[in-house]
Amino acid sequence: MSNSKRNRTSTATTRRSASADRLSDVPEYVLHRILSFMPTFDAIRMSLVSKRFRNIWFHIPVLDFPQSRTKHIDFVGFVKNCFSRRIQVSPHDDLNNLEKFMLHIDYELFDYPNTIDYWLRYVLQMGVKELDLSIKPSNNLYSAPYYCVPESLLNNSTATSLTMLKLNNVGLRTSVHTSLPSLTSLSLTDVHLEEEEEEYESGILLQNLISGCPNIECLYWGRRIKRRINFLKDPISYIDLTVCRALKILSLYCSKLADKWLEDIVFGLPLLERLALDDCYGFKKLTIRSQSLKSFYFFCDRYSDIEVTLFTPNLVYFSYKGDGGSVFLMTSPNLLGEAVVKLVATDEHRIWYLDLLLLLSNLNCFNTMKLYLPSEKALLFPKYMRKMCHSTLPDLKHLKVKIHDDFNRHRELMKALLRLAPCLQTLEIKRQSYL
Amino acid sequence: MASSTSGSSSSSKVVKIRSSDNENFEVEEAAAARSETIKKLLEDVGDDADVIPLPNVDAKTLVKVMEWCKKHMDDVDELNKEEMKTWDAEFVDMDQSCLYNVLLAANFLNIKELLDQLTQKVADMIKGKSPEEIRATFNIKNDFTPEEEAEIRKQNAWAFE
Repeated sequence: MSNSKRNRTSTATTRRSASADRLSDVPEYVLHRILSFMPTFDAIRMSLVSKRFRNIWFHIPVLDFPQSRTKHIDFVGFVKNCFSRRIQVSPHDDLNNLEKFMLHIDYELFDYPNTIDYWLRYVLQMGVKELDLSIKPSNNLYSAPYYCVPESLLNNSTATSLTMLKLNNVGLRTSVHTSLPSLTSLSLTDVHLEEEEEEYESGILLQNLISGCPNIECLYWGRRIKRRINFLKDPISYIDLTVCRALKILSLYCSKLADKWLEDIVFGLPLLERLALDDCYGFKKLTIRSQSLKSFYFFCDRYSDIEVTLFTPNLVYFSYKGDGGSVFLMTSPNLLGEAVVKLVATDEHRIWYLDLLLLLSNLNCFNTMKLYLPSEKALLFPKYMRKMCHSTLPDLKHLKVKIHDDFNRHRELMKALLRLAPCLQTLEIKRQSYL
Repeated sequence: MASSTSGSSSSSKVVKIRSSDNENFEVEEAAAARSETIKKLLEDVGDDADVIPLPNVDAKTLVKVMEWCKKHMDDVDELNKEEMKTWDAEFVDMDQSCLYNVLLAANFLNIKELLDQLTQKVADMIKGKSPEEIRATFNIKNDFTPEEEAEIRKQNAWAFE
């Protein structure tokens, strides 16, 4: 085999040398893992390659059915056949073999929800640990039918070994009783809550669901779907999340939140290490108090002008993405970690530069900073402001600047950066696209 | 940021390991312990360990594996997640024969995360390819008779049509 560096995209046909077939010698267990990293459709196609691979797919621990990959075939028939072949081959010892089941489909093809119910029952029987369901109603009409998950999925008498549950675009019924003590990770994005008309009711539904998962360590919640009614508040903000005492990661996406709710939740979760607020809105001034919090993400593309005060002595990672209009007041003087600031736009007005200086000056407590800029202009302050920039970041030690566009005023940039942070030990400026 | 150089200036403990072709290596214990196999061996022999022999891994492969272990010695936190991702992508971009050696070593040494990265890499080389293309990529000989192949196609017509 030649050592020459190959282009990642080049196909291997160009290298058809006399080299040996090593893949066939790989232990079965490793082959199972390899085939687990691809849609089941591709894994089954391996059976045509050679005798070695003929029956490997029967025992792979991950079943992944993305509809997009199999558009040309009868999808329902395909999944059914996969299941029946597996049962046929090993009717008994397949138990507890399934680690993960992924189903990403459009609901329009499924006029009969029973089919999905049946598949779920089967994978639960096989002791599936991770379940990832995304069943999109195919049109955007408010009245488009959606699939409601069966009770068996949310009950530990049937879902005994479930540790991860990821639900996207499915419906949840009020009447369902949830009890999933084995679950450690729950992701609910764009879920449909029955009785949406009653904002408070859907809050109760969600509370019942989350209270039934007392041991979760990660919770992802987000809503992007258009709803029939414009909620005054997000259903999540009716919920007392502090029932999940083990929660370490909380990620909220596109949610309308109230200041007080968020503050109480963060304060009331003793193990919370990571908080991410992605495109959330509804609050103006936020105070985060947590002894345990290690990383904080705040992304807002649309709503700026938010003030966040952080009482988080153990924070080591801070990440902000936005237009530079938000302010973060860090109350701990020396944080050893890193601050990442990604600006999504620049604006050459005086106010914008002032906002940027204010944003940066409050992050002086960090040791290291990564600054992502759309263009070099963001740092080329107008002449009359240069004095003001002086020592905005007097204690910063390490700075990495990544610029989205081409830049050519390297010297000026260096000067501007050293003016901002005169005590830098290392400085790196690179071009890197990120927008 | 914690430096992950192999500098022996740090006070951390060093263990000796020996490759199948009898080359000895000194590695920081924290790095070597990324391998569940070595970790277990260390626990079993305790402090009396002289050299830990690894009969299934040659020196060239061991260097590669230990390079990964050193880089991943500390748990990755948010700090260097992104850099780590780039580093990992470059790490697994190696020629096929090297890839298998490291893959088998990761399996033998029981380093789950490394095994995941490498199996993912091989999976990416398979995904979306036709059986013929897969054979060509991996130099696999088609050992089916035309009749057998036709039969599998027929049996699994639901998957290939």
